[in-house]
Amino acid sequence: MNWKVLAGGLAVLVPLIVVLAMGFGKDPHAVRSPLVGKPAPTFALKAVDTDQVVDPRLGQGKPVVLNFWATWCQPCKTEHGILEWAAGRHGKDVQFLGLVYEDTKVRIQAFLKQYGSGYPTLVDVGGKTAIAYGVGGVPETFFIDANGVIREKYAGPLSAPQIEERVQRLLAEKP
Amino acid sequence: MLGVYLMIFAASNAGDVLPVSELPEPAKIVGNPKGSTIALGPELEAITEAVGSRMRCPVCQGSSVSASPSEMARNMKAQVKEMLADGYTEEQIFLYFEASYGEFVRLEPKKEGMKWGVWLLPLFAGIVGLLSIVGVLRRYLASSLPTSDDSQNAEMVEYEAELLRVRALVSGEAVSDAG
Repeated sequence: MNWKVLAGGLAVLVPLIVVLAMGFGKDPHAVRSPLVGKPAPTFALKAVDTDQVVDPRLGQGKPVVLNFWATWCQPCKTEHGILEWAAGRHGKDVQFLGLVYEDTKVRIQAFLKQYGSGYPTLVDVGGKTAIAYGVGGVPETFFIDANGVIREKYAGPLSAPQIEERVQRLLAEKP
Repeated sequence: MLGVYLMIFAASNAGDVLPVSELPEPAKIVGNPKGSTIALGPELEAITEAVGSRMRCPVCQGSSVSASPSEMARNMKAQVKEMLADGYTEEQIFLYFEASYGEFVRLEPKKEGMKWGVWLLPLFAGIVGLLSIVGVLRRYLASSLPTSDDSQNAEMVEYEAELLRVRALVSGEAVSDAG
């Protein structure tokens, strides 16, 4: 046996296996964001249905579920129904907000007419809010606690149990 | 309808042109601009392009903001341009984007601390590879060329052959003399 070759191979493979093993236990959708644990960027955007400018008043005593989405995003269609359900269930205690980017008002209105609009939908023209939140695609959801601090960023469509679990976590925290 | 925690302002009649003044100003994140303001024009365009070429597009596969045609990249480039025009330096601009995207947004990692490894390890690996190739080549050449031992052996063989020939001649002459 060539011990030198074996030692060289192990020197390359072992660190690689360790790095991969460290990632196995993690949820690939629970994206590490530099904003987690920090105050959520504030914003004021126009609501698509009323044309009124909405300031979500982050950190004013109510947790916020902020969902970035677009009508051209297929997984967003499924997720929208789940968010509608969650907003109906927790709307009194948690503020749900939809934030649409890279889209048109006509398409958004048609989408909401078809799939429902149980919570405010704001339009991020110019994408500045998406940039401030470090959005890299849709859907992405931010869970913001009652103090206005981002607790989690989730990339990809959320299932009902996933939303429920996270909302319960937000509600369990005292402001 | 929007809930008690939403403050609703009177809508403007400006269609989709939205005030986003509530967004954090770059100055709140990276301090006041440290550079000079740049007027709109070819210089601003060129610097924006250069900064964008070093900034990663977050919705693309390893592409820069300057190279990507995506709307996200266009929005980021517009913000870079705006900040350059306001006098923010390239480093301040990267720090601003890093606040939301992390260092991932830099196509070139910072040259500091452990991150030097990203720059130096490929160089180190290159040097090790080159030395290995030189070593292998040297061994190959050494095995294919005759060594000093080989030439000494050849001389020895030649010498012994010559000795045998002389002995044969000498013994032949002795036989003929006796005859």
